[in-house]
Amino acid sequence: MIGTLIKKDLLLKVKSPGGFLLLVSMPLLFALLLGLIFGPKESGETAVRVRLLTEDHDRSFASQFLTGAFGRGELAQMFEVTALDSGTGRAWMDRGKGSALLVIPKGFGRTLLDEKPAELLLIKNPGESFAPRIAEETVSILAEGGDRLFRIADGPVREIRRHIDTDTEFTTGEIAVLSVNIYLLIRRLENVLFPPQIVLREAGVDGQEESVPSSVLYVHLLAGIAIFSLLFLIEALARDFHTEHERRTLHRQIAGPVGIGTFVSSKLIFLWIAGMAAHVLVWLAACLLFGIRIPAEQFGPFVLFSAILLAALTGVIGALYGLVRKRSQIQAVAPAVILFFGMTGGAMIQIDFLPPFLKPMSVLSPIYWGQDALKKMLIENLPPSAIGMNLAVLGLAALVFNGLAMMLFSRKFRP
Amino acid sequence: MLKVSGLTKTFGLLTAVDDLSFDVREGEIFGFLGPNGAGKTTTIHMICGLVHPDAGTIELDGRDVHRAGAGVRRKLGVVPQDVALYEELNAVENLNFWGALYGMKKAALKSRVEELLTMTGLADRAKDRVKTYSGGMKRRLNMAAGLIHHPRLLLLDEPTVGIDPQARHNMLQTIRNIAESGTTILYTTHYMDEAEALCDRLAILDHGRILAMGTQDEIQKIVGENRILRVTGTFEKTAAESLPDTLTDLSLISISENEVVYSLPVRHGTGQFIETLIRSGFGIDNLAIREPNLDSVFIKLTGRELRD
Ligand SMILES: Nc1ncnc2c1ncn2[C@@H]1O[C@H](COP(=O)(O)OP(=O)(O)OP(=O)(O)O)[C@@H](O)[C@H]1O
Ligand SMILES: [Mg+2]
Repeated sequence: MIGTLIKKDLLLKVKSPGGFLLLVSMPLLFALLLGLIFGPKESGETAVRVRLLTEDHDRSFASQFLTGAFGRGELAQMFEVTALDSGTGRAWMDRGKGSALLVIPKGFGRTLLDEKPAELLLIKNPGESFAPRIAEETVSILAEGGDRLFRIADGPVREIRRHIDTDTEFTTGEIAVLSVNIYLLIRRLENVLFPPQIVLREAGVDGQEESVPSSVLYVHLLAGIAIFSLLFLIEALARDFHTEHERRTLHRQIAGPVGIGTFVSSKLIFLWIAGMAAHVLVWLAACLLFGIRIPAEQFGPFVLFSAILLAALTGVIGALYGLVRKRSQIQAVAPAVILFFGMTGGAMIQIDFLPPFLKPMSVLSPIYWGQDALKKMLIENLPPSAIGMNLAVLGLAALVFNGLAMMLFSRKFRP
Repeated sequence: MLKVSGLTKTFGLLTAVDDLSFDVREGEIFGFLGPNGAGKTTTIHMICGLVHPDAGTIELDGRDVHRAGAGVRRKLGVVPQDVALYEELNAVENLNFWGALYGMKKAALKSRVEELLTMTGLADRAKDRVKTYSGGMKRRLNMAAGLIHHPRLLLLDEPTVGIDPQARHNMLQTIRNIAESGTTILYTTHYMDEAEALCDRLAILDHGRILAMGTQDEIQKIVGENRILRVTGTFEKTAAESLPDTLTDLSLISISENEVVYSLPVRHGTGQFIETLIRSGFGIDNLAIREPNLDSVFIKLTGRELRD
């Protein structure tokens, strides 16, 4: 009987696959977009040390973040950053003490917030050839990245809207939520981009190390976003809970031979299957598009991980639907919860860069455990024991939340 | 076959179903006639397990429906008042789904689906999505879905609401055929003429209570067999008022400027009445004779028209 119920749900999706395919393509679209903009460049760079002087007149979060970026992680190896007091930079440059001077004008952060292209002043040292150019390029990428991203993303976003408009499964409200999410995502992603950028530069600087393959960049970009999108996908599919209730097909089933438990478990299994299909599609496409390779020895762990991850995601969404009764309420609550997971789980901002109060909350997000495992498997190619903790946490979440979903729904639908 | 006793359900302060007892016998069409809010749907929901009764028992073939659970419910076919189908699927897919839920085998299901599609006249639209159907077609498919697994007792909750007279006529014929093929039917409606045309026995329901129950003849006897006679034209008011004095058993129901309504037992015939009218100087524009029917029963029992 469960089989019949699931088959019916799948048939319904096959008959109108618009929304499903759209949500599957979303993470790929993002990865492709970001990869194109921030992907590796073919040119080799000589090992240079860039002495960057900074004058921050803005002292905003954005400006400090920008100057901080040079001093962080791998970039720190290339850049030697000296922060100067206002107005002293010129003198330093005149004395030849810097490759370039970056002046961040007052109001820089504000402008960024207004989504206008922000202006930065970069004064290059004419006595050096490469270093100032590297500084210029890096700064321009950091500064313009968001702006360019917006302009390039504008097309696809509008395209997505058009698709959604013709898909009856979405209401105007949902489109708005989706669009906002996409914009939010893109805006936040700006920040995620630094680390891969850094990884690649370092390869050029050192000259000795193997250049990092671009597929690594894509795994970095995709891992968090893919799981984030899966949550949105499962959430969209979970609306069937309400649809069957509103269209009375749920009542008809229960008036027949279907028990409530059977109904709910069939729905959860359906969500899992559809989620798995989307997950497989995403990574399959990622392999084809981005040259990501799943190492043979990671194949088994990847499958096991996927099954458990999807069970956890299904449980989380299921429990959420069981908890929040009305369609109107869940429409507000679900995206908020998913955004929270995305934010704390590293789908939007790299976990290292999260504000200190958010960082400890990472462990609450299934996305955190998921993307961490993906990176361990696909980038570091670590043995299965390395993701044991991830599997345990996700497995436990799967058990607890699916159980909770069953319990809440049984209470909700009992005659 | 179905035995309901002492069934009660309250929603907050409202008693939707109030100490209802009736039984439906093998092979008959049992009617539930009542206006909006009478408690018809609530009763059906309790029979098929969607609503838990506050009191009372429901037995199907001697087994308690709520305690015996799904096993007993398999014998029931439910046709809900609101069309409950998957609009994105076509008729065949819908019927296949509902049939498979009851564990029907492929071959049996296939022939049953064809049979039902022919019976409901949907065969040539079978491959179209339900959302492209007219309201009447959806209702017919809704009924077919309730019949798919050969239920012994079919619960039909106002299956003709919102369809045109021609389609309704066909639907009633189909229901008669279903009954003739051996399916027992519990039929709810607020159309008096449907109940009259279809039901072997019926219960008249209002505010969750049964006001009268039995065969149509038995119910008729409750109010006596009176025709309603409505005369429109010109007449002397006093003459109209004194008419019952000249004709035995005639009684006046209402009178206005140019219309007067009487009731007269059927055994008297109408010839003498018309003669008397003419003798009393009535200028008759129109004379409407309403034979005794369930509508008049309802008016008599509640003081209201059935369709409010
Ligand atoms: N779930 C519910 N909660 C509160 N009140 C309810 C509920 N279901 C039914 N009622 C009330 O119970 C009464 C009987 O409703 P019911 O649907 O059984 O009537 P009905 O005879 O089927 O009417 P209709 O001809 O309009 O379908 C109505 O007053 C209705 O408002
Ligand atoms: Mg009703």
